[in-house]
Amino acid sequence: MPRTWASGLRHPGLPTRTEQADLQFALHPAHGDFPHIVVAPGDIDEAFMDSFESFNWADRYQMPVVVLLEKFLASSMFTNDGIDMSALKIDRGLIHQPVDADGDGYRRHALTADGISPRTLPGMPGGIFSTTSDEHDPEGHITEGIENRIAMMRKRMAKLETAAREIPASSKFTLHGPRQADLTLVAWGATKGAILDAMGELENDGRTVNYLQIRLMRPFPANAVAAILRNARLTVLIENNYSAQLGALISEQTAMALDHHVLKYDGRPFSRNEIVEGVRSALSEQKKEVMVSHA
Amino acid sequence: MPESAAAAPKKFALQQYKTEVHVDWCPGCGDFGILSSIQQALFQLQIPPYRVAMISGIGCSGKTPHYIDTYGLHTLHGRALPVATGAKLANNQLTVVAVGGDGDGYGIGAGYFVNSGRRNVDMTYIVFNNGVYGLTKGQASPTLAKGLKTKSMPEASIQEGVNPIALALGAGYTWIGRGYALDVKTLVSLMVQAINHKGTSFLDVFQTCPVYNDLRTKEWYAGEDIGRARIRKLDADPEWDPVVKDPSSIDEVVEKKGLALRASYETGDSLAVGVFYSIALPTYDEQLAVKVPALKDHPLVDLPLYQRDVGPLFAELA
Ligand SMILES: Cc1ncc(C[n+]2csc(CCOP(=O)(O)OP(=O)(O)O)c2C)c(N)n1
Ligand code: SF4
Ligand SMILES: [Mg+2]
Repeated sequence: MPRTWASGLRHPGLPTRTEQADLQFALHPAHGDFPHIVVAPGDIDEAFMDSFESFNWADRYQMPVVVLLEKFLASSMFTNDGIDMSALKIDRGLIHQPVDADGDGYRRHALTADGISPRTLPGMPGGIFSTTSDEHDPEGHITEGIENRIAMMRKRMAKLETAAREIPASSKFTLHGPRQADLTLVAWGATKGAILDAMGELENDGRTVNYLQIRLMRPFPANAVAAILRNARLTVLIENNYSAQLGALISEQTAMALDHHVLKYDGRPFSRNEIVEGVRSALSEQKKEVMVSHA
Repeated sequence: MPESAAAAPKKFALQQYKTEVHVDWCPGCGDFGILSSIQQALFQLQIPPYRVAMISGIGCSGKTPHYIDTYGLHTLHGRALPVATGAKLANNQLTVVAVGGDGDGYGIGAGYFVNSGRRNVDMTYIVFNNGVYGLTKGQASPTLAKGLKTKSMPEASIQEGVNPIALALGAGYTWIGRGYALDVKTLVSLMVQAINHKGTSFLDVFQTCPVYNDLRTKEWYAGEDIGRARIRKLDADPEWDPVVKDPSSIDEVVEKKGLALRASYETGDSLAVGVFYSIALPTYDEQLAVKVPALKDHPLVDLPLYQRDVGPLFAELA
């Protein structure tokens, strides 16, 4: 069933502070091997757009969508230049229109190439379906048959490939700054503002700087990210957590590791100065990992 | 139902409420009686199958929607009520019936059970109460009384069993009943009343599980050991009147709840079945329609989705 979740980043220790500690949790929110989408907006404009699109994605791909919203974004004041709504369109996905009220032959979980089966809504004459959280056949009835299981797993997972194909690159990641730079910063979510502010200062050190902001966490744009990282000379990962969770995701998806990590896990958002200081310290002292906190 | 209505030709045949899916309950399971009663009740009421949503949790009982040819959602353990609530709020023209086991409803779903009683969404909840977790091979369920040891338990339970009727009275359910799976005639009549009631109706059904509950057997309910039936029909007593006449009278509400509570604590050799309590109160759906008038004539699902231009709002803030 389509569903949209907004996850405030809460953790047992500092429930009303901010952190980027739940990325891996959002990627693995339940048992079983199932498709879902995880998107992490970096500022309020992206939060608005991603929330809007996530409802469309949930209906279109019939899978849960997690919008990973940070406490820092949710409870800070920002200004913007207004939002252009003209390109936004509500998409309820494929709705099957029964030809006759007897609805003979409609199968809620019909096998399709792109993995998406048109749905009906309870109450539609001719649209009666059965569905279950247990493995089911195309009619939505329980079965543990081997061939059906394989076909249904492939069908569900195909939706993820369909989503990966259809979601525009601009929603997946952004490379801020020049295509080619001496230093590439890699980050996600609400560190965006502080990083954009810090880039100019870091360029004063005599290096060109760009910044890869990753937004779509699942399906992960692995090829595009790998291409950018292969092209990068020096990489620094910046994350507001202890365990460099995006770093782990990048390694998992591309088999590539980033050169340095600048981390902050004191429950407060990064300031511009902390980014500048963290990156300088990692590079000048050749440290794999630097923790910053302007207490 | 008046005689004349019962005799009128039916648009939908009983067969139309049945699927061809193989019913895989054990031979002799009380679930067969409950399934048949649901089908007969829907048939009696002549609700178009496409207007019905059967929503279940997980357990042997959770398989019920697969056998009824209406919209059917076999959800997650303990989650029948929240999904049923959502279905009714999305389409207030649906007849929503949630079903599930005693483990499903009073164990893992206990929080939803209590809070659904507070809302009074117009839907029906039927619990298959067999005293065990049938599907997972017979562990004690929340209704199994202290001191009992059913077939697959290594020792007798040292926890008290929950009293579902008492819990429902406290939670605020507006129609509360209990049936017995093997008395289909009474059960059909209770289900018809439950579905017709405006508000959340709660029907607990004593259900035999011949495979794992070797204590609460058909012979035990029939009282073969004591020489008389254990099941006592509340309406056999001409004085019994579970209906609150004046919902604004707290005295009458408390009096009727008290009588229902007393009847629910009859245990051992006398088990009351029938309607325990009934009160007419505004439903959640009706109260929503006061706030959103469009819902009076159209279900939420039929209202157009519109895109509101937030431009003027931004302009105002600029
Ligand atoms: C979240 C979750 N926990 C546990 C289970 C395992 N489980 C399946 S059915 C069941 C209990 C079934 O008992 P009941 O609800 O009384 O239904 P019955 O089989 O007796 O009809 C349990 C614990 C599950 N499916 N999901
Ligand atoms: S285990 Fe018990 S409840 Fe489940 S189908 Fe068999 S008899 Fe019925
Ligand atoms: Mg049970």
